[in-house]
Amino acid sequence: MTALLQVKDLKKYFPIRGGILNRVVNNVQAVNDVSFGVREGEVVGLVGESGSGKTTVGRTLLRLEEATSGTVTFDGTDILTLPKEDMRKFRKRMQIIFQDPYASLNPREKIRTVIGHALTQHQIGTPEDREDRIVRLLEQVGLSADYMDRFPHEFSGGQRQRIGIARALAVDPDFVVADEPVSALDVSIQAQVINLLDDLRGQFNLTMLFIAHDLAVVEHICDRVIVMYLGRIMEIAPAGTLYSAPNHPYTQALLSAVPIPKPGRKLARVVLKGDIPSPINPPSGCVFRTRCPLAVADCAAVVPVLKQIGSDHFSACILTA
Amino acid sequence: MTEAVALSLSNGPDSRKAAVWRKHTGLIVGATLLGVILLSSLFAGFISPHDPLQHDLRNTLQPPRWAHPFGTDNFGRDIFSRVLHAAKLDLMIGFLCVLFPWMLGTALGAIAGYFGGAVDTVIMRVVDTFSAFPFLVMVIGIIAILGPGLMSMYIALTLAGWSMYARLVRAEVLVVKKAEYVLAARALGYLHGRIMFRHILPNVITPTIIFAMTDIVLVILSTTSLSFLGLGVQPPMAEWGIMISEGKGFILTAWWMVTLPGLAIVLVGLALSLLGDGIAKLLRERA
Ligand SMILES: Nc1ncnc2c1ncn2[C@@H]1O[C@H](COP(=O)(O)OP(=O)(O)O)[C@@H](O)[C@H]1O
Ligand SMILES: [Mg+2]
Repeated sequence: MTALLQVKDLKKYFPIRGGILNRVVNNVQAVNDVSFGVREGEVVGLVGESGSGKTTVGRTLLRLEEATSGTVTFDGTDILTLPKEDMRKFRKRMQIIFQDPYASLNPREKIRTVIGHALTQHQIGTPEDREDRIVRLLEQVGLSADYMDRFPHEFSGGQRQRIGIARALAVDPDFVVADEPVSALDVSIQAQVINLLDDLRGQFNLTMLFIAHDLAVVEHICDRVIVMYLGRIMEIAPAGTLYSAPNHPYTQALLSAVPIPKPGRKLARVVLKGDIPSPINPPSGCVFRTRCPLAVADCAAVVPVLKQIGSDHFSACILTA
Repeated sequence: MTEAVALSLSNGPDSRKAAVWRKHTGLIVGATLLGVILLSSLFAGFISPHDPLQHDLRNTLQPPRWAHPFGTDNFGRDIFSRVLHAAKLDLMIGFLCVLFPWMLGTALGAIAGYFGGAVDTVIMRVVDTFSAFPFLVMVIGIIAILGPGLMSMYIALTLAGWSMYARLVRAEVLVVKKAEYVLAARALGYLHGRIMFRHILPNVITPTIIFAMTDIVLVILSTTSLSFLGLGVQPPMAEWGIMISEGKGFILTAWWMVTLPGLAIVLVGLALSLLGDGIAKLLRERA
């Protein structure tokens, strides 16, 4: 099956300016040589500690940040080079759900406007049936149509996140980036919102990139999982394989941090020492080597490439035979 | 004893009113004072007992008394009537000379912050240039070039005042444009105009209004100072600065010519300061 979305050698550096001439003195290497594909109808998890570049990947795909280099092909179109006006039309097909439900809604817009304008912008439906569409969307995300004329501050975090989901789905996108959509919510509400996304995925025929900072959240909803660390991909595997037979030491460390391991899952407890290094001066060779319990001298020499080690399973570690 | 009084206050039926009063004393006093001043200036034509420009050479330099509550000046003009008419002019100048810089500064600051890059650099260099001069020095310099008068004063105060607003708005826009709701708007392909007017400006405007409320006091004081120096409003129009200027030669024989217009300036300044601080407090609580 061909990929709906193909990312190749994506790189995003944020320049750091300084000095009296305001010249670029250094770069934050937020995303480095990231390549992966997402197949139609698939939900792919993107996992890694905070600061590993997940948000930047998601935003660069939608051109909310401009990539430093690399290509993103969506359904045959190279979107990073698309002229602004063409991109504007294309945006209907790719949407995003944000992490912070309190920051993702304009405090001065009623829900009717939040969703309604997405429809008018992309000329979806006739002016008469837009009201019905808004009602239907609200119901699909589990909100009452009575909420239409309320402002964001009248809602709870979970409700706001549902509104954000409705806004993203209003234009009937093919592909959605969900950037830690439940991280900011109460634990009691997280499962509801994940289940909602799982339902909507079927109803809207969605392909999704689901970002999370730990593996516990993605297990339920993802078909495949990409593990990222300090701007680079460490491992890609089908969700089942990743949980039962993680290859990369970083994945193993993340998994051993998941609170309730499944019965029968036997894993050495790997505890990461220290903090994630600065992306301004990432370690040479394998970026994970400074915290890796298995690191050897060679790890500093070359950046390991993603090697196929099984069906749909790739890992970037020189210790992998 | 005091405690008992406080207790009975907080439990009484009026306790809510009392709490509002305690919290917003400045706002209420300022608004009332300014309201009275505004109303009397609007109805100056009805309230004032005399024509503010009418000379009466038989009644010059009269001290305050019933027929002339604020006395008369060296031409026999009624000072009370002149103070009232001047209020209308000074308040209008103050309002417009804050409105124009606010609009210019907000527009340029928002464009600089939103588009960034070369646009930002150019606009901010102009802002730097304009804010390099002390306020009054620039105002007087511009009036010196354009010649004294009301129109020159509008232009001078606008050119000298806008850069503060531009700085303020740009800084706010830089923060808000990174907000996720603005990213969401961009992800939906909204046009710059909508993002600017619906998503960014409404969320950056509050601090500029707070600043404008304090700025208006400074502007009114500048207006009267300039007119006092003969650079702004020109005689024979009734304006507080002019009246003080005309009265300064008679300060020993007719104290009311200088003192009473001066008192009007103090009252307006006080009212606007109280109101400005009160509104700032209110908006900050809301935000
Ligand atoms: N606009 C920016 N300017 C400079 N550095 C940034 C910017 N956005 C993100 N970064 C940096 O890029 C790195 C990756 O950030 P991010 O993509 O937000 O990671 P994650 O979502 O995995 O937590 C971090 O070190 C972060 O500080
Ligand atoms: Mg993130």
